[in-house]
Amino acid sequence: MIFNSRNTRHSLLIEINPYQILAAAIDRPDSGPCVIESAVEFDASDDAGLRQWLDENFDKAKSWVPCIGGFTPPEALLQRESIQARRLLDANYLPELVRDQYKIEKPADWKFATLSPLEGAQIVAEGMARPALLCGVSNTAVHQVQQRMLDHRLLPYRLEMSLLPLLGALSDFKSRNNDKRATVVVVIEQEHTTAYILGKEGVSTPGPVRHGFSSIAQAACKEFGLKTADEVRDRLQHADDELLLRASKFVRAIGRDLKPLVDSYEMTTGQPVGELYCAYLPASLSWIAEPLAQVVGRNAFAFDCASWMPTVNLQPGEGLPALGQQWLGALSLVADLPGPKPAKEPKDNDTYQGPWHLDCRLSGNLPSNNLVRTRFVANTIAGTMAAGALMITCWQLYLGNSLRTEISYWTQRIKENQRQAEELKVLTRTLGEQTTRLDQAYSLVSSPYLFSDLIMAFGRTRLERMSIESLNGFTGGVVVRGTLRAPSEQATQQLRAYVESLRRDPELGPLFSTIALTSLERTDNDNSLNFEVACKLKEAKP
Amino acid sequence: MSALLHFLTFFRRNPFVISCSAVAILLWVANYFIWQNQKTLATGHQTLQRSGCLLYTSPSPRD
Repeated sequence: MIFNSRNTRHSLLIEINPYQILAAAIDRPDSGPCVIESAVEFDASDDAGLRQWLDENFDKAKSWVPCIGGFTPPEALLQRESIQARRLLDANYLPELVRDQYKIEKPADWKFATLSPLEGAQIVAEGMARPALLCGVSNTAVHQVQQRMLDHRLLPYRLEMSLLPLLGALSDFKSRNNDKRATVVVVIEQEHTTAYILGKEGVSTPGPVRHGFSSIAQAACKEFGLKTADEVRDRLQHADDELLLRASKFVRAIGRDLKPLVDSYEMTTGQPVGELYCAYLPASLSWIAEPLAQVVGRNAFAFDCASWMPTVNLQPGEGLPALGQQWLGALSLVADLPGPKPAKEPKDNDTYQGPWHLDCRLSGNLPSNNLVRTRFVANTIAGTMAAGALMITCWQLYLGNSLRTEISYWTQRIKENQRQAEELKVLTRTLGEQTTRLDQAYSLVSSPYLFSDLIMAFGRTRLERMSIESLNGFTGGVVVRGTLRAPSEQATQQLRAYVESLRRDPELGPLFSTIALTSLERTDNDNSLNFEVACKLKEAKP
Repeated sequence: MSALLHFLTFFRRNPFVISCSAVAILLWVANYFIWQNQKTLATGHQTLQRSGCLLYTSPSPRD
């Protein structure tokens, strides 16, 4: 259903007339009669009831419900007119004609067509003057009814002025019954009544009658002493004997104006008018037809829907209750009416769709033909967006939850191990200090001065006639003891100079912090002097 | 009032698209706030990680 709703054979038939909304589920097979599966009637303003019925009967089709629609537009033109057929090729001919004849100020906002008043076929633009049924409907009216249908998920693939196929069906019915007399079709609207006379020359359109249903209501109000509109409506919809007895009074205003029109038709054409048919009247108001026909001096039109349907390729479905006369207009929308078929199959957007059938749709205001594909794509995109957003939300929530759990876990762990960590820090600091000390000790012992080098260095600095007898180490230094053979005074001077040279020596000087002559002692031999030089090592740097 | 009626009509015609779009918009808005919260959490997590590193990997005395 989703993928082929445009071409499906299971669809809806709907007629919106001044009194009622008539809806029927229909099944149209490729061959064979069109089956009326179910039928239902609503008040003209009962949109809620229609919506509920549609939801119940077309539940599987959540998208558009394809439908064939009929309506009675408030702004419409259906007039028999003499036209210059050849001038139909001129695009301005009909707009100018209706502007002049019918005071339609903006014909560009209307849709017009011309049909043969006898057969309902489209008039070919050739030849001279000829009678035509001039049909027109304002785009505003079509737009309104289209919107109303779309609001109910109904996608019309044909939208017609239902009066035209109704006239066609009546013509066909009369010709089948070989009825030579003319029939008056009366459409009683709220404030006026329109009459159409079906005769041997086709549809005639006498002028309108100034009285409508409101005149019936006023008469009933006066007659029964009713006060409110609701009381009047209720009273008129319950046709009891009392009401039927006074019925002719109620319709007298309409009949009084209608009768001269009918008589005039008879006088003009010489064709008797036999019957009167009140179109669209619901079953509860069907009693109006009989007294109105009596007032006009004709018979009420008798019509058996069940016997008529097979003649126009319609078949009632199983369990379908008998349909009343009010269904004639709706059923004629799908009835197979006789007449000259178009030379080539009409396209979807063509106005003329066959005898008595004019499609008034404003295609531009309807969803496109690839509606299903578009809707599918739109649904897919919207669904994907929603699913994507949902997945990302879930992922983010998952991540957030994980982070929270992790933070909580590690916060707990840190709290638990805080004391050990502090202890570890203290131990690490202690270890660092001790390591530093070790490093310092290591640096002290890493490159010990070789004793042989020391001897070599003292040897190198030894004075002439000086003998070094010992090199003794003590804690923190070295003591050099020896003898200098020289007179004592000279020896003393030489030794002081020697100590000074030791301090400045590039090898020995940096090793020792102090180098001092600590002892001088004359020997038994007057020509020599024992000496002692103390060299204190430098302190290691911390 | 008229706009509301138009919206209701449109919604009735396209319930799935409208519902999904509304859900998607709500979720994207929610995502934005969750993302902001996520950033705060991530920052907290990084701070915690740094604290953990400092706590458990004290620097070597030789470094």
